[in-house]
Parts: sequence; C-alpha cells; structure tokens
Amino acid sequence: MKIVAVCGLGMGSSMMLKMSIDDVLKAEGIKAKLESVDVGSAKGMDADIYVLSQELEKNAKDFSGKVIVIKNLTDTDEIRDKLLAVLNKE
Amino acid sequence: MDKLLSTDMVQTQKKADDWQAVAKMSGSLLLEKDLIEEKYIEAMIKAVEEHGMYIVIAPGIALFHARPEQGVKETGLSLITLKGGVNFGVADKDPVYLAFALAAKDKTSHLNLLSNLSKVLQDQAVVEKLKQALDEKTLVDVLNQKLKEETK
Repeated sequence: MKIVAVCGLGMGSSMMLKMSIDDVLKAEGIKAKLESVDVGSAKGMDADIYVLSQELEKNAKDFSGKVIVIKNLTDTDEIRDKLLAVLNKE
Repeated sequence: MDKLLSTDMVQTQKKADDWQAVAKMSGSLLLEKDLIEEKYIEAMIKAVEEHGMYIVIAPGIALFHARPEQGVKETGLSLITLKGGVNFGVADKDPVYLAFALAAKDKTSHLNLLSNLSKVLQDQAVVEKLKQALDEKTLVDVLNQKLKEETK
C-alpha cells in the first residue's frame, strides 16, 4: 500500500502531515509506503491513499486513489481517525 | 534536540493589515539573518497565490515557505505573532496569530525543525502560551520548555 501526503510544494505542510501519518502507522502496526509530494506530482502518481489539507481539496478530483481531507494538520487525532476509517475499509 | 527558534528569529505582538504583510515580516527575519535572498519572500507569497491558503495548517497558525532553489542560503525558521490576529481568508481557521516562515536549503535539512515544530503545535496549551507571549524571550522560553519535556 502506498500513502502520499500532498501539499503545494511537497516539503512544508505535507512533510508535517507525513510525520503525523508515520506516527499513526507505527502506533497501529501498519506497514505502508509513505511519501510527501507537491500537488503537481501527486496528480501523476499511483497511490492508494492521498492525504491533503482542505484548502487543496479541489485538486483531489485528479487523484487515482482514495482521498483523505484534513482540516487541522497539527491535530493527530483527526489524522488518526480519518486514516483508520479508510484503512479499516480496505 | 535542536533549538527551534532563537529570540532574534521571533517578533511578538506585531500588527499587520493582510497576509502579504505578514509574509514579508516573517520573511524579513530570515533575510536579516542572511538565510535567504530577498526573492524568497516574493516566492512565499507566490506559492500561496498559486496553490491557495493551504499554508494555514491549523486554526490560527500559518507556515509560509517556498522552494529551496527560490533563494534559500541556509535552513531556518522564523515566527511572527500577531496582536489581535490577521484574517487570511480561511473561514474556519481565521484569524491567524502565529505566522512561521520556513527556509529549507534542501529536501531533508529542515526535517528536524519540522518534527520539533509539529510536537510544539500539537499541544494546544503551548500554542495558547505562544499566542499570548508578550515578548520574544517569554515565547522562546515556552518553546524550549516544551521541547525539553519532549526529550525526557
């Protein structure tokens, strides 16, 4: 499984998202490939799950996998809950 | 653990008319320390104009940045706190009280900074203290205290 954290440039907020997602995956014992990318690159990528902030949601229609929209990138509970909700459906 | 911010990379209780002014203030701190070229500040503003207000990462918190090749000399972070807050046009996260500016020299040198920043911002009590800090020293003390606790 491949998860990507998406932001405008692929190195600021997406990097913070990636760290939070990594914490969740480790805590839950889930193995996944995790990358942070910019919006442009994300469109051409083949990932299972895309995680991005709500301000970038309009870009999500071009993504090939499931999309998780995060309101507050510093809220680990929100990230955990939304991520697990999608993962548990897999 | 590395120090996140020093007092000369912080200005507290500033006033600004709009988010562009805030970007320039936070960027100026990076410029004064010679961490960036002046064009990096414009690039931070352009990144928002191009991709949207995703830099407001949490209610009341913004993280400005651009790409390494857009004028970064050294990796670093600055912070402006805003008296009364400034509206960035993000309905459920306005107003912004804490505006960080990040300069990353490459794709990895800032990871430690971001990791520390995440830990700090995940703690609502600490975020409140940062918003309320009246001077630079108080603010940096709050940060260092939090990071010290994290390393215990």
